[in-house]
Amino acid sequence: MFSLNFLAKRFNHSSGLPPQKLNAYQLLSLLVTGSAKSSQQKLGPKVLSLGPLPSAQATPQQFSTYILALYNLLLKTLGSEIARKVFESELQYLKVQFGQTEEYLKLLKILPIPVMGTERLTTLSRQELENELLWRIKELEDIQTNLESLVQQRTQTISAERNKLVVTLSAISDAVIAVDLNRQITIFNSAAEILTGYIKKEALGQPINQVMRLYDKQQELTPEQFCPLRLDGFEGIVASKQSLKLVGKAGKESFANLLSGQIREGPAVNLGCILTLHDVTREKDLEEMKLDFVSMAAHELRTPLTSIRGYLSVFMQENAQNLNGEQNMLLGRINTAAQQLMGLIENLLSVSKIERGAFTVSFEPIDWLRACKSVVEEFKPRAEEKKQTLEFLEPSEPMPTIEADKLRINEVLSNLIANAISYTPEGGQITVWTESQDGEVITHVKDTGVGIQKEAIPHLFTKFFRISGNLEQGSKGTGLGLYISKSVVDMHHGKIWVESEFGKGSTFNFSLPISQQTKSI
Amino acid sequence: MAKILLVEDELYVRELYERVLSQNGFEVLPAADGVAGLELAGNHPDLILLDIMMPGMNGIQVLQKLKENSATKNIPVVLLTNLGQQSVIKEALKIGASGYFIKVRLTPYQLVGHVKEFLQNPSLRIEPNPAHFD
Repeated sequence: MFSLNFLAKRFNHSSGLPPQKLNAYQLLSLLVTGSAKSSQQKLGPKVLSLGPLPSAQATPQQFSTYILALYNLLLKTLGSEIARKVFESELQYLKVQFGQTEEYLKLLKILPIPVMGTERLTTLSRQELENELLWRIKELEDIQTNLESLVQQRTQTISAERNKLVVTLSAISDAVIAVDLNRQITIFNSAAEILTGYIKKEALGQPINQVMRLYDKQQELTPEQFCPLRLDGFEGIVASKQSLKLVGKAGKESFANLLSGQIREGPAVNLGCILTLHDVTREKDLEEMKLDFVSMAAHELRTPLTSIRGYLSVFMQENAQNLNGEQNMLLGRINTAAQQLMGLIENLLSVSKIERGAFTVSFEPIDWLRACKSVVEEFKPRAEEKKQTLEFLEPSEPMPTIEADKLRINEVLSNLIANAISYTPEGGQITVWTESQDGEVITHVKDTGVGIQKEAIPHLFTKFFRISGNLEQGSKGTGLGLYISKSVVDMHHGKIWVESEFGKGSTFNFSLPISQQTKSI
Repeated sequence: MAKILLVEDELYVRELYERVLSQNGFEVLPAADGVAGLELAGNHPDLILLDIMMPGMNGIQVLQKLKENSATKNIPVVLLTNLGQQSVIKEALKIGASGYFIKVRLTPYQLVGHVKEFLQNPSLRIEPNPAHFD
């Protein structure tokens, strides 16, 4: 807006007349200057490019042309509402400053048709109003046509993008399934059809677990587990699992690796997870065949072993009277070695079962306190041979009954105690104790043995890992014991871990939940 | 004296069990394969110890034939196995075997002990323990 002084200055500059005596063209000049100035603040150089402002001596036509050009510039860059407002406010100001004089009314008539102001409308005749309306309608029609063309372009682009996606998905050999926030299927590519046995039409809109069920080893995964639906704007992989069993239409089984991802905009567009499944059924089959070979081989190995153990026991029985201590000792070693061989074969087979997901545990209520004590008792003779003390510490509180697989969990404890005895020198001490806390029972086996180096600890529970430098001849298994123990504890939904100081000793610990109810499917 | 038909193709294993069973007062009829076993079954043994993994006719097939024959179907049969598929044992028990011994896990003396127990109580049946199997 302009102050009166500023206007007066300009007026003085162009003519010599007092403000109130301005004629229509002079008012027009003020209008143009004012509008250009106020829009210049928004548009800067663009307004200047329209050329010099018409002088007071210019014709009405020249003024009209300039105003129209200015108006169109404002229209294009700021939109019709602002363009109109600029002129309306300038007109308003002129009316206030100079009054609604005859010259003012003449000015309104001079203004070009598009420069609409309510002021101007009141001065128009019916014919002029009709023309004005027709012009406006044409303007709107032009805008509409432009918009329609723009929308058509955009729609085509979106359509092309969508087709690109569909074609790409069809060509991917991995199954791609997208689900919305209700975990209902929205994308289902051809590979998914092959993997699950359902065609796209059957799958779209269905809840994901109606179309496929996923099992990790023997446990069924809930949709929440493989498709978490994080709503915190997370973008990336939300779940990743290997060798899952997938059951599709009519019980069709296959194996697949799963990757589940989310995009940040997901929640906003009702997109939950995007699942990618890589079919590994063939690889699994090959693996299965290999493992059946292991089973056959183990079976073959047992035959001569049966004879070795059998004939040794017969020999010792039949010649008990004639054997001296030395001879008995020699025979005893053969027997021990044969037993170790048997243990080895058993371990190999357990591992092969674990690997192909065929290793099962069956839970029953166990008096764990009694079970611990009895395992400890079993190993006392071996500890005595090495002049070690092996003791079980009584717990301070009564111990609950736990749900576990008796045979397997005894094997775990036996494995830990056997290791403790082996890795502890003569005269050492092994302590076993157990306690219950927070719905779990934790069992500890502590030894004063050689301990374990820090670097070795992460590998301890893997297959075939053996610590170098054994204290005694004869293996403590093949390095499979801890791997099998960990698998058993994992299947009980417990944890197994070790604390150790190299040179001082180790404590192996494992926890077992008291109840298996909440954990099963 | 109780008569035991021992059907086992592995020479060493067969002679091992034969020796210990005889020493413990049993009359042993040894057979090295299924065909010989079926023949000797006609001698009215009190118990048949039947190996599963045999070349030619395997233990399951022998068992089938024994149970089909009215002369032999009531003779109790206990399988000799060194483990393998649980399904095989289950099938055998279904066809009518009374139980199984895991050869590698028993000394011959333990096996003989179980045989004696079984003959005293033939209604003893054994369900496969999944932990036993491969």
